Amino acid sequence: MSKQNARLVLIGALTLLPIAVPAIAHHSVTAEFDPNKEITVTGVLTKVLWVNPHVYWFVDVKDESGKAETWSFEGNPPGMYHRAGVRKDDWKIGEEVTITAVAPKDGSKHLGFAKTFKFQDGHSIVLKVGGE
Amino acid sequence: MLLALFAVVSRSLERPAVRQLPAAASTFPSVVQSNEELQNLYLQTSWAKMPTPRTADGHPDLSGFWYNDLGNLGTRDANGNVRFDLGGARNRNKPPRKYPEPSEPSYKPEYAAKVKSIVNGQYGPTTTEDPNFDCLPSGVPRASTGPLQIVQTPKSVVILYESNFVGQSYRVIYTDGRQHAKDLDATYLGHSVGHWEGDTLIVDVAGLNDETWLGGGQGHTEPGLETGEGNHQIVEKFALIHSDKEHVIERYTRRGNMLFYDATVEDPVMFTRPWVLTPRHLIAGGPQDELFETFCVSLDKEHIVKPNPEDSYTCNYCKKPSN
Repeated sequence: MSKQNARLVLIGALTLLPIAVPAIAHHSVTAEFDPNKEITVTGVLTKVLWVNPHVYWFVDVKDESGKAETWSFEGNPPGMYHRAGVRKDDWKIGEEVTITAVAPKDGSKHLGFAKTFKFQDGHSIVLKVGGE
Repeated sequence: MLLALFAVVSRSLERPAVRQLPAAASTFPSVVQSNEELQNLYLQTSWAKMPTPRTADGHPDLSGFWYNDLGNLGTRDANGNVRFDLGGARNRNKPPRKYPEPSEPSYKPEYAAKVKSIVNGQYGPTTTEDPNFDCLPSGVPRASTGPLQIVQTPKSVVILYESNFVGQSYRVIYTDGRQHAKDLDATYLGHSVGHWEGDTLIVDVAGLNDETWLGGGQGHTEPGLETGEGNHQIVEKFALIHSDKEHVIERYTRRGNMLFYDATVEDPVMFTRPWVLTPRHLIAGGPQDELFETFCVSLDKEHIVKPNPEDSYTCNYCKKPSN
């Protein structure tokens, strides 16, 4: 697959709703995202915002016409990651990354709650929010 | 290639997973019916049975980093793969312990109606009417959850809040005998004066504005016990509004490596009687634990949904407020 092409894959309702919907910071996952609707995109990481109440990753993703659009992906609070040994510099600006995320419910096109980052060298970062 | 391999290995050694649950110390009841039983339960933990450090003037030393171990796991393998598992150290197959229902304020009818109207538009525990979505300080007593750091001197106790919900903030509790000024400007975290009664620091908080909630949203999480069950969610779970006549008496008691916190909230404008909140507990961090900078940036507010017939939020945890 071309490195620069956006790959957007919608995966249908393959999983049951989690029994216990986890708190991700100050709101429940399902108040913003649909855990049954996964998206996968590939792009270049441009920024990591290491802030409360959610870490955000920003990724430039090119569509089929070659136009880059900025996607953002939400995560947990930075203190939770750091105390579990996950660091901001586990993500390198400029790296190409394939992100699997759950899609927002409000129809926003360039947003997700990050689940998996796969890097070009084959290593990955998995962020599991429980109940799944 | 060798160099790259070395870099990967050294990275994994440099940042090992750091946490471990204490071994099960004793048996705990599976049903806890009252706040008194709740306090007894936490007094039986090995954290509370540790010796209590004291300052030169004989008071318990509250200084240090306080938090609730959320049971999050982080792992990193030799190939550089990283895995974060929220609550992964918890035994999810264990039946949840039954805790007392969190106490809720008793509102006068007109304010009860306002609370109900907010709750009716919530998606589960979440609504964008919650001031937390604007990254504002949580107010008192809502801010009093970990992670936080306490700095105690003979004349003041300073609380530095990290928070997982909003941005970092702080309070200075004056213990030098001063009283509240008569001309306080109302603020998010108010003005605090404290004194010791035995081993308990009693804090009087006044000068609070009406821009915060007393509870709501996800509530907060309490330490789990030493059985792998992790924390439990508490939750003054509703949109707990208050007026700028709010007045709080807080009590901080250190028992070993556990901080017991409880508070009584008066609001002569909105409440029919003072609200005694369900006691909270924090665990002392280790000597290497640090408070982190956590400024808050609100990017999620516009994406929060409301319940609708196709996507109605249902859970046992979300009961409607009585009144």
